[in-house]
Amino acid sequence: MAVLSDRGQGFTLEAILAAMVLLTTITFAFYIAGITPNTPSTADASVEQQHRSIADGVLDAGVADDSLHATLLYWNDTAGTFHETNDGYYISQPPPTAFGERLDRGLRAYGLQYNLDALVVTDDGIERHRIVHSGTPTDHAVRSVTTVTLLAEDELIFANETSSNTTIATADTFYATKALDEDGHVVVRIELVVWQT
Amino acid sequence: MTRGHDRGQLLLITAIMLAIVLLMLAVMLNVTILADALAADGSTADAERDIVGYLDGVDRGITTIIVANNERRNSTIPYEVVVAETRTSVHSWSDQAAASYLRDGTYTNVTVDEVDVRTRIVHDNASATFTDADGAANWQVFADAPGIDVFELNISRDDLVERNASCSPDEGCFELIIQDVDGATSRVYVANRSGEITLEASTPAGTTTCSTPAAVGKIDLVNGTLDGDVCDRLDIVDQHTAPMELRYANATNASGTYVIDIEGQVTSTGAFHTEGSPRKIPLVSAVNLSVTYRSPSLEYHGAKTITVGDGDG
Repeated sequence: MAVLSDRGQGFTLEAILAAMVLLTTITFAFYIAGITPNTPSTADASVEQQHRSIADGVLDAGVADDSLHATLLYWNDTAGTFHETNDGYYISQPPPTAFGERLDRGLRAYGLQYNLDALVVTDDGIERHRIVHSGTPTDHAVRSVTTVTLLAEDELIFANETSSNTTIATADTFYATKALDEDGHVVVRIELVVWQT
Repeated sequence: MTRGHDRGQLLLITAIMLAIVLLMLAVMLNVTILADALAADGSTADAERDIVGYLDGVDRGITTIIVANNERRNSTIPYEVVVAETRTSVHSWSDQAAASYLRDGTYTNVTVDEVDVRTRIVHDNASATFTDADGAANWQVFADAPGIDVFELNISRDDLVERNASCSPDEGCFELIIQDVDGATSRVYVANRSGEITLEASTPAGTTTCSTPAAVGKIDLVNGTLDGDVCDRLDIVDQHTAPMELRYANATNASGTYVIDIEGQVTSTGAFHTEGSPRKIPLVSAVNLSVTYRSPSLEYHGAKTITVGDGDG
């Protein structure tokens, strides 16, 4: 009888030990596996690549048909802003230009938000000028970049998309005028940041 | 009793084995997730897209500034000055682009290896005769021309010698002479015959005579037309082998305008105005570039040739 009692306690202890070993192992296994809601997956990367492709396509098309070039010159030299803006840039809406239509068709149709900026290099450093601002991008935002070369003799464009007689060189408030170099050209870096809403 | 001992020990051993199996499963799962993440990592594709985008920017940007410089240039200047200007422009473009790409930790640079130049000879004062800048009536317009892309003259009837018969040397008719390295010669006499601008051409392909009643006759010696109509054997340029020489004779007896686009550099004993007519304008036809792109994940060194077409500036 005494032996049976001893064995019972022994069994219990061994079972408890076994359970602890199992629990510790399971806990450790989950820990090193590191699967969390934030763990990137193939699906996330694929979606980002798709967004990047869409953004690249929009910029490439805008460069190819010069609509991006025209949008950069869509400037109200009197007001010192892009045409038809209250804050100097377009808020959550595209510019009323051909490139703006392209942005709308190419990005909003996919439920994408975007920021479009123009950067120029001046003697004081790099200046960023907002063209379209839709908010703060998410962690999964992607960025597409291109460059456009403007010339001193390029003319600013009126709100009705016709050329004015005001060139970049003679403009009073155009953002890229002071970036013109001695040869009369300025390289404008265009950044299009895109994210899913 | 022995059976009871075994059960407890079996329990423990089983638990330990289960633990080992779970550990192995966890390691395999981790490896799978890591491989999956690496495979889905688009950083290499992004880097390649970035450099393609940069090279496209180089292409467009350098083309833009070369075309602009060509269009702005409208005076006689030395070829060396044009080459130097081009190097300066490209260098400036490269510096501006580099400053913006440096924000991403990417180094870029574009340098010029070689500049190919062509020549445009322009006479656009319609009331001036076809003499050179010093007033010489018989002068060499150019020599050593590698090829001629455009040769168009708009000759006014007003200053032409009036003749009722064919022109001959020393009779004062305006004469245009093309000679090539093989010694082949073409002569084109232009005179006013019975109120019509008349061309008499003697070319390697034979002779031809064409006329137009217009007050100003448009002559195209590349396409062989007079006022848009084909004149047989007047496509003189194609009948000669490079290098070619062009001379004018009796240039005081012709007025109007002309433009000649020549591939490459030429020499000339005739004089040109800096701003007036005629003038000899060097234009850039192509640049050979060395391009460097160095990002945290990708490095590229390559050569690129930017060619500007005949219609570009």
